[in-house]
Amino acid sequence: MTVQDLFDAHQAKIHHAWVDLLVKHVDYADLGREALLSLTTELMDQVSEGGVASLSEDRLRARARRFTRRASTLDLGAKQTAGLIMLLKQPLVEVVRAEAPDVDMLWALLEFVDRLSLEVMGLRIEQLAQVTELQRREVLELSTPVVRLWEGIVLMPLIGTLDSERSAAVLETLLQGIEDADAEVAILDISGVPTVDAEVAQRLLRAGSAVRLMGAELYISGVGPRIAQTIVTLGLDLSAVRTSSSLAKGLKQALRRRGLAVENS
Amino acid sequence: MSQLTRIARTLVVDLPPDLTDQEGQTLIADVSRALAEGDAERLLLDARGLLSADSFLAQTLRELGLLGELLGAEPVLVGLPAGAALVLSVLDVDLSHLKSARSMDEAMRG
Repeated sequence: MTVQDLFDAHQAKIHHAWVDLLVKHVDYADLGREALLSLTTELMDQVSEGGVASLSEDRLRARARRFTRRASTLDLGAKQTAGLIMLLKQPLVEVVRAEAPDVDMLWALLEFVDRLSLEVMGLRIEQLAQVTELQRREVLELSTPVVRLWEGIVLMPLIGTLDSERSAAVLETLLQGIEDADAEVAILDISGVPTVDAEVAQRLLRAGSAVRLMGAELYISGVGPRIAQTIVTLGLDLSAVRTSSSLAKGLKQALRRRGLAVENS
Repeated sequence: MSQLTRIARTLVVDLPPDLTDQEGQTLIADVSRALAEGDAERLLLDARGLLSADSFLAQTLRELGLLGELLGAEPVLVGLPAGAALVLSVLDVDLSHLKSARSMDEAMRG
């Protein structure tokens, strides 16, 4: 009798013993028997089709990938996903003990479980890392919107800390926003930026010259006392930008530049 | 190839997407001749077709601008795209003597 024969002959029994273990386990009990059954059934079927011991690396990986994808819909972490497969060891050992007490056969089965769980853990970690990277980019984009305030006037409100990576993204988005809106004035509101270092301050002012070269003007509004002090202390060149202490003042300047004014009615 | 066009008292320079060293030199020579011999009061550098920029382009723009000032034609950079503006702003080339406009229309109206 081969490992495969043993597995196939007792597939249902192994499967049930496995699910029984999972249902009682603190990490998986919340998922409920039904979800655990459907998650594990596919894997059991694949194993009985494809051979246990003589599985090539590629097919093992394909199998692990499918399992990981299903596990991820249940919100299982990397450790939980791999641990779920490792719990298969106990029913396998029991079947070998009862049906064919053979060390080689036991070894083949345990090794299979190890390879599969290791692969699944690696894939799940990869998946989680991708999610984190996506979220990081999303946050970076969300944090730098360009809004059209008025015909020819765009506003980019900045909130939070500006490091050099973000300020580079800010400049790129701002310039593109000016081009897309064909804006004459761009207001960069930094009311929500607590402080900037020398490099970022320099970069913001340099943004002014880029905007100017495009035929538009950059107004930096919401310059707080701390940032103002930084600019003064560093003796930075302010010739390419107009600055103001609040967005209200910046908007007023921008409207005036466009020949517009707001009146009380 | 870049092209020079005269409209009223304005000399328009059409900047090609990728200016070679040779073309840059020829362009500067052509512009200085046209400005010295003609009566242009404004020099429009049409940058709408630029895809990006490098330090050679920045230097060429700078020299064209200085030529304009020297020969009595106000230099105006027109329609510089965002990507090129981004590169020019980080290069250490002083372009503060160039005026700028978003479109040819805006530039012609002055």
